[in-house]
Amino acid sequence: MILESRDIIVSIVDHLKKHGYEVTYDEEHIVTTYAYKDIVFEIEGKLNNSFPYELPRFLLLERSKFKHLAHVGWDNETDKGIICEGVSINRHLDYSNPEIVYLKALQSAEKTIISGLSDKIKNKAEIIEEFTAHWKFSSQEKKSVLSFVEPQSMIVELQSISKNQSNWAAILNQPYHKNINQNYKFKKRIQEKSQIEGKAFYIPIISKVLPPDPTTNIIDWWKSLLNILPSEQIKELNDIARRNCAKKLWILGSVVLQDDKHGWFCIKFSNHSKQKLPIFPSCEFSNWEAKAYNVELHNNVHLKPRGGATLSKPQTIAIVGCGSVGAEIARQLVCSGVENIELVDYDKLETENIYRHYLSSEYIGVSKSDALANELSYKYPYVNIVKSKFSKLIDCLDSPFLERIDGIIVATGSPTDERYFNENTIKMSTRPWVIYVWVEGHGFGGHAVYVHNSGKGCLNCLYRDSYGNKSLESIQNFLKAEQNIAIDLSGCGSHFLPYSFADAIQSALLATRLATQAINGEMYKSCRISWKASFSTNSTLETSYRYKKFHSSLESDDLWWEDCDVCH
Amino acid sequence: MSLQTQFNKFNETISLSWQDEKIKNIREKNDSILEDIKKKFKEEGYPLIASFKQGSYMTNTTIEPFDKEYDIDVGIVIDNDKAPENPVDTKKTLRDVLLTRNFKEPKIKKPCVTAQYFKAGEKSFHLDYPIYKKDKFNTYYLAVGKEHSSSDDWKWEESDPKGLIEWLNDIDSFSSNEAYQQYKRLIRYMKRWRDFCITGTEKKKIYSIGLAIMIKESFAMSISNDGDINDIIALLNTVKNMKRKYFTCVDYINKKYDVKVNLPVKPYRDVFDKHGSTVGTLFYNKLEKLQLNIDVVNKEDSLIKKCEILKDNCFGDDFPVPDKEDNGTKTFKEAGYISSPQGA
Repeated sequence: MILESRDIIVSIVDHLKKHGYEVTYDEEHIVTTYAYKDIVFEIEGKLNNSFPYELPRFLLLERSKFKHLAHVGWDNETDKGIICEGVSINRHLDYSNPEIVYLKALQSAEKTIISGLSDKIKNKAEIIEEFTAHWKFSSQEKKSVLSFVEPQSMIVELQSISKNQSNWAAILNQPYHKNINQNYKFKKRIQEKSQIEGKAFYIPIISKVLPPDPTTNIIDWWKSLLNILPSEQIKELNDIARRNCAKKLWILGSVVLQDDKHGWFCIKFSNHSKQKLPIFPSCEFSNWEAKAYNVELHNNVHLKPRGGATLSKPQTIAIVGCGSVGAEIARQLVCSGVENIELVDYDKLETENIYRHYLSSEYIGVSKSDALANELSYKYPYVNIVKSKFSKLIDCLDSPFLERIDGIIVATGSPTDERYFNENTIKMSTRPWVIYVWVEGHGFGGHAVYVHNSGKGCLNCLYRDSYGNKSLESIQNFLKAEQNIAIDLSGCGSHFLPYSFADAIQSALLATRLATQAINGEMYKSCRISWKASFSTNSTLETSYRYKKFHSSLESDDLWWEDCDVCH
Repeated sequence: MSLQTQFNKFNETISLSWQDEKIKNIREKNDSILEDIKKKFKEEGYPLIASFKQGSYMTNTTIEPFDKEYDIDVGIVIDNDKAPENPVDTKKTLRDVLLTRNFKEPKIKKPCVTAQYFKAGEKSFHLDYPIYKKDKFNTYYLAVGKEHSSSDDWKWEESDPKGLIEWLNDIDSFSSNEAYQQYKRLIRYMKRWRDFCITGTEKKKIYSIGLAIMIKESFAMSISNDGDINDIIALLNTVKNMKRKYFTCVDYINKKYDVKVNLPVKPYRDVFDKHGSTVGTLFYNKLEKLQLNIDVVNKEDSLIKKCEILKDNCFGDDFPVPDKEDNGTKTFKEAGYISSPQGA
């Protein structure tokens, strides 16, 4: 601690004493002592250099004395356990009053300990729910195990790749499992030049199980676990053990927690000679050595929710138009957890596209839909993204296709095609939901229109003027029609609609948000949303009445126009 | 085809502009008469320093007269320093000019000189000429008084004819040009409503300027954030506001009302001053009936029936009624194609 920090410590100690605490301290630590019933415990507060801009760390002294205690870590060398500071990952601290900050954090730590000591049932339940975190305390290994295995109900033999791995102790993989697309680059990379070593099995544990504490021998914990497995599982494990001998065995296990969550553990068994696998209760363990490993999960259910996916059932979405907006939507949908995507486009990536398109110059001259499917399946493991047999929006008016697809996102930028498609799909008795998305020139804004799979409201509702006349100009747009919006680079044929990469992404986001809501069953009627820029690159263009009055970016508006002759 | 489309057609049918071919003769006549007025006023020692169009032509709210009797208002301006002390003298001079131009019965009214022009024995149009003197501070004074009224009533009354036009045309007091245009349409609709629904001498007492001031001050815009214009809702809510704002019940038993609408500029007088509760009650009751009719229209599903109610009960035959209900495929207002600002 630097000298001025001592002043902070003294002020904290004074403050604690004023609040009745029994306190001792040195230059770096403040120790407070508590008596709960007949139990005495001490909490050591450690001020790191970042305090009071970060919370102090609190450690329970003589940790091993307390055995299982929820939200309290272990350090076998020091016999101190770090006390969890709670679920918040970001706090805003009043650093001008460090003694108040300290006291509040200390009270929280104290509450955690007393809660664990006072309510044994709750304490046990919380430890079970924190299985994976507590398992880590038992692992002394620096490297983790990388697992591609999904939680499932059956015992499964795995492939263990452990030789020539620098980052992980082993990679556990379920062969022939189709959930990861075959192009996925990361998996290909880590499997290159690696070798399969030993045996590996996945065992699902359906009982509530306490993780071991660091003082428990892993083999003892494993034996106790085998004793509580259902008889069918024991029978199956006996069969496996009888048929398999190995010097090394990786056991990957998942325990069922609340809300369909899982805790994970991994044990590596090693023996100097090939032996029957130690996976049955009557096994002789004396020649087996066991080590606990942390599990780094790389599976569908663990990774996808981080992208916002709450997908109850896999859906198939078609994206028509793989330009700068459509390509971005494809990427966003994959990140959002959509599993099946079909891409419809007739165009190839051109040189002039590369600064506005998700695809890089690597794909110049390649079909956009092919390239996009390739690129996204390289990057993301849990997606089935393919080029459609159709290449144009009009092709998609195919009944079997429309029956098979759950939703269509149209990002062609062609109002003529989109309106024609809308008119024809609206007539169908069963149809997928459709999102039409476009961006306006010069960065004025972008729009997404959601047409529900039933009920009123369609794209044509927007094609009207202020006086209720049917019009080729969309009332949704911020720019008036019939203006010279395109930029001409070098004469005829070199015109393009000016908008930025950011404009395309912003517009794509509108469609993605609507699509994920639709996929999650949260959309009940047709609607539309827009984003509007606070400034544009061209102030001479004439804007619409809606542009002037629009102050509700990302808010949903009704779509239906009562005089629409298409969905009327 | 919506009800708003019918309102659009109605607005186009009843609108009349200064450049309209229908009033070409009147414009020419006025130009010619002005030359005579200039000459005569100069002879009298108070030459014209300006003349300007007044009234609805300047606010673009003129409508086709129901009885085809077109009229124009032209302000005559003379210099304050050369103006006679008695304002009626200038009015007599003007009346005499009109007499030489084959107008029958040019009359000196309190605020102006008015003349009816007949063609083939039928009333064709009439002209109103208010006379002002203007001082070095650009203040206008209206020549007030009748020829045979008490000399106490003869006066040069401070007035602000241009300020009134500016007030009525002040687009900045509206949230958008579209709202401003809606307000102007409401004035046209209500002038036609007055001409159609109020008959006899009372009709002339519901002054256009009074209606215009009331509508501006009571205007309730009805344009959605998408720009969808809904004139009937704007009309309904404006009428409701007018009833609340300008009418006072003076006899609860017999339901009699006074109406008071002050000019927003000098001399700030009540436009309906001295008309008493006869005009006020009639005006109020007619507005109430208009409101009821609009309520019926808004509850009606059939476009044809809506239009028939408006035609028969509110605006007369110029309000169009479509031949059939609006259920079929419509045509775009634009021919062929337009250039669109969108891409992806």
